[in-house]
Amino acid sequence: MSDTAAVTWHDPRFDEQIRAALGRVYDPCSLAANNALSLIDMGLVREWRVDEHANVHVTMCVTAPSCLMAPKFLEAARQELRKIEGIGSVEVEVDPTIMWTPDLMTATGKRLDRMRHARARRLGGVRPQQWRETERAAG
Amino acid sequence: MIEDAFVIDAVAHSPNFANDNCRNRSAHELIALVKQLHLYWNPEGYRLPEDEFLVDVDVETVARTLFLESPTDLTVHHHLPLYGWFHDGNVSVEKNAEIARRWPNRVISYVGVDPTSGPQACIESLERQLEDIPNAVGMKFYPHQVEPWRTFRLDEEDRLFPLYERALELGIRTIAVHKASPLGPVPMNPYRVDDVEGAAYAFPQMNFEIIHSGLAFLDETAQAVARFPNVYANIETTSQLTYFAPGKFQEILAQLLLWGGTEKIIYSASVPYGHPWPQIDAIWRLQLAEEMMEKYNLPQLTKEDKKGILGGNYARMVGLDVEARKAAIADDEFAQELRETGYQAPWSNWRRAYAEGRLRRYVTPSEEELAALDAAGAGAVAP
Repeated sequence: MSDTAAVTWHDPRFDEQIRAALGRVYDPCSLAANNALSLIDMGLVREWRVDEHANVHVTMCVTAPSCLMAPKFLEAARQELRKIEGIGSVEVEVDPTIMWTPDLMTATGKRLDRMRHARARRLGGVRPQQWRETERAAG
Repeated sequence: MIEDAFVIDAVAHSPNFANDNCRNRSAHELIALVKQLHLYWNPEGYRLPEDEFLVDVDVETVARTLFLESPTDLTVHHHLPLYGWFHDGNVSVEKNAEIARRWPNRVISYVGVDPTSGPQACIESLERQLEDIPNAVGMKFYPHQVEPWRTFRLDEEDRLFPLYERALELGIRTIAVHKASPLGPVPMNPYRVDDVEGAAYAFPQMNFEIIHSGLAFLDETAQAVARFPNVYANIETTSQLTYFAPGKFQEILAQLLLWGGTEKIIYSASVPYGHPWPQIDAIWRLQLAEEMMEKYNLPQLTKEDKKGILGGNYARMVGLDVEARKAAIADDEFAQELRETGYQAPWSNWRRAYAEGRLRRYVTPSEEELAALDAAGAGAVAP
């Protein structure tokens, strides 16, 4: 962790913009799985702090220690954060001590994940005349 | 009716092949293709001479062909939005409105729009067409346009979903999309059926007919009709294989029966590309080959199955009251004439209209004329 991680004071004025900026960056593996979730909804953003000079420091985790895509989405996060008007320096880091589990996902992320899994189950696999089950289920 | 089967032909057209309706070289290439379809896919005795087939046909000739030369009771008439090829789309909105107005008990109407023109233009066109045909129940799409080449997917949330939403508000409950049969020398990809599923999933209250089911992408089509209650296999043109390639037709039908079940299969004659009588007759007499029954573990087709394919399935899909329609047409002009004449000779109504000079002819253009069309670079604009 860098020195800025030790900053405890936080300027909340930028919170909404930071959340929106990180919400525009998508976890590449979720995209590959046809279940697009943002860094926020995946629960990969664990904390951010903004100091008195509007410098932002974001702490993130990855879903697996072997993640090869992290440099890509960290850079994407930096680019989005730099677009915030009035923001100072931008620092985004991964804390390798944080163990990600699905529990860390936001409520929205969990809902989207459940919905898309249900859809995938329905779309995947096929039995002869499977539509009859759907029609029965729909009443 | 054929015996006690009420016959609904789920796709009929009144095309305009007149030269002045052809926008470009692609139109002439498409005309060459449909000519071959008519000449080779109909059995002997059910083919028109080339010069008589390629005309601008009026709706009365089409109606008489269907209702006086075959046991067809109702037909579903489409406006074809082939604006990239033809100035009026090939089957004009005016003809679609005329046949709906003249024989409301015999004709079920589908409007047509070109989704590549964008949702707003489509919605405006849909609303305009419904002013003339307020009881239309369906909407026809083609998977791409030409000159300039442009395509779309049925599952596009931005371009297609607003159109489905408006269509549902206006009472359109069925989308018929041309698939599997490429319109001339064009890329095949838009004719795939993988985009049907996302649309069918997102709009369970809308039915989707895969037109020309099985001519290509049979596995994918069969699995789509297997999974989604609102996806149907329309066997327009496919059913002409009963004569042209009967073993192939058995194979296609067997797969659709296995995966979709008999209720998911919808018959269409595709007038004027196919004559209705030999197709209805073939389906009514059809027996699955032992080999197919064994290969796909299927029971033999029953009369009830065939009644469904020839009309019952379509009626159920669109919520049509068959008994009310039977009563409404029992003594109409076609029923009366049929009682007097019996079934009239195949294409006799068409040939009479042609002989009387009522159908404008198509003349194959010279290479110079085609080059002039190329030079004009006529772009396509939806009316």
